[in-house]
Amino acid sequence: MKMWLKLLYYDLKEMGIVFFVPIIVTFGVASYGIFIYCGAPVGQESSAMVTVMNLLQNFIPPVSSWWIIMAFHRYAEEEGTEAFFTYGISKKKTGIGRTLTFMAVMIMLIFIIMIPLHLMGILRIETAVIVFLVLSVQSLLYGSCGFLFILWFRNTIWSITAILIIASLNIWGNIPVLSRYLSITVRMQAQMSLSGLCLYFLFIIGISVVINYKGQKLFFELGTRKYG
Amino acid sequence: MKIHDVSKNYGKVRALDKVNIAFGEGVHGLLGENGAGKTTLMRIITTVIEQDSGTIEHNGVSWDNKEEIRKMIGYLPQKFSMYRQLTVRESLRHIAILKGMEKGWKLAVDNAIESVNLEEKADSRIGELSGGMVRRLGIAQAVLGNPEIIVVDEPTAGLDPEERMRFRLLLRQLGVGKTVILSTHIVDDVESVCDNLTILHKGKVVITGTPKEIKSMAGGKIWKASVSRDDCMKLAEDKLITDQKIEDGGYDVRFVSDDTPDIKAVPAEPRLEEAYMWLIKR
Repeated sequence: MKMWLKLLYYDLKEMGIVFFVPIIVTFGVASYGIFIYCGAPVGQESSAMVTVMNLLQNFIPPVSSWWIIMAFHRYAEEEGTEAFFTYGISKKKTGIGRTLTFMAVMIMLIFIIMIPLHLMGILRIETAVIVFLVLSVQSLLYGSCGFLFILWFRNTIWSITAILIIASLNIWGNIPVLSRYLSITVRMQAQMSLSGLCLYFLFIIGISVVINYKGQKLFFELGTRKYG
Repeated sequence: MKIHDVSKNYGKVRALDKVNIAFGEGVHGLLGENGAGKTTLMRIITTVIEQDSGTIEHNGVSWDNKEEIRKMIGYLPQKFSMYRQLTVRESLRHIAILKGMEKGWKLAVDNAIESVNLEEKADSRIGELSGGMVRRLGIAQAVLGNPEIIVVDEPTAGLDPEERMRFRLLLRQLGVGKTVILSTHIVDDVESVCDNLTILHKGKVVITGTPKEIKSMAGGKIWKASVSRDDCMKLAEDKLITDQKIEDGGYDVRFVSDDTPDIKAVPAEPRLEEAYMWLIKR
């Protein structure tokens, strides 16, 4: 645990100002959501809530890939990190371990923004729990995608572009890759079944594990792919 | 450490061709022109990439066992960069974690900083260091964890003369009780630092020996003469000129020739650079 926190600290310190991007986006989107809800006409709160849900799920999970891309771009992209591939630590620890640490930080951020959303009466406690869980598993998926993309493309711009394409497909493409579930769930709360929600979580976590596994495989081969 | 019949291809290009070398204690130089296969060999030794065929072992441990080998190796690659926002001490602590050092790493970091004389800069950010200091930091990360084998690839390239001399001294100190493998195309580095030397050419080992032995091999093949400008031009057409100085309107030249030259010339004591040139042109 201590080791992960130290690695996290060094990674975040090195990022400098770009470290704040996910924090700014997360709090910015939450604040905007609160603004929309508070400004909605009387009787339109339910519709405003769906807008807030869509805002949260469209913008927050994609930024969970940011720190992962920024942390791994050095190994994947920069020339001067060759010595890293000779260090004794297992690639499993530096790959999946660090990825999960960043995801855990993102999930903490999501938890923090749920508190004002609940306290201001926008989300009832049971809805806040569902939204928190949905955003968390979606963040897992986007984080895993970020891990895979940076090792696959070995290029920061391409990796961010790929994440933006997926996020755009969700927002405008009418392709229910991830995010439609939440708005449907919120609209149809009366019909929402616990088993359906669990299946959704299992499905997204399953995809995330597969993507992480593929990313891990690429991480093992990174030295050879980069220099071989 | 024994390298036996190691070969490596990049597509159709044969980067290493059945390389056989044995490294012992002390500083061992790998000398060769760009593209000779030095960096490929360094990368194979440091487990960054794998050979296509052949074996490597050190004290009975095979290179198939990468985890064990990585504990024994410290590596300073040709291009080396670190986290620019971290301080020297922080970056080495970071690397200590990545190297899997669990106990005594604080002391090891302090020792590594001391070994490369960076104590005064220990709490400075890496972005503020000069190129030479970053190279020294590179050595510090290589020696962190007290590895038995230290591999350094072109460590003095781009350094100013003062930093280069400091670096040579540092490498000599590291070679006491350890195996240091130094890859370079700068002959002066080899001559002043290395106990042993292997010359690589087009992926093949040309020769291995001490710098003195290699120099003596070119005995009788190096000549010097004082010639006019025209004779100098003519000489350059069929002999390899290794040095020329303008002297009293003419030229004092040194050149390589297997046979006694036609012009008036006397045999010269071979320099390592000349022996190297003679060996790879042979």
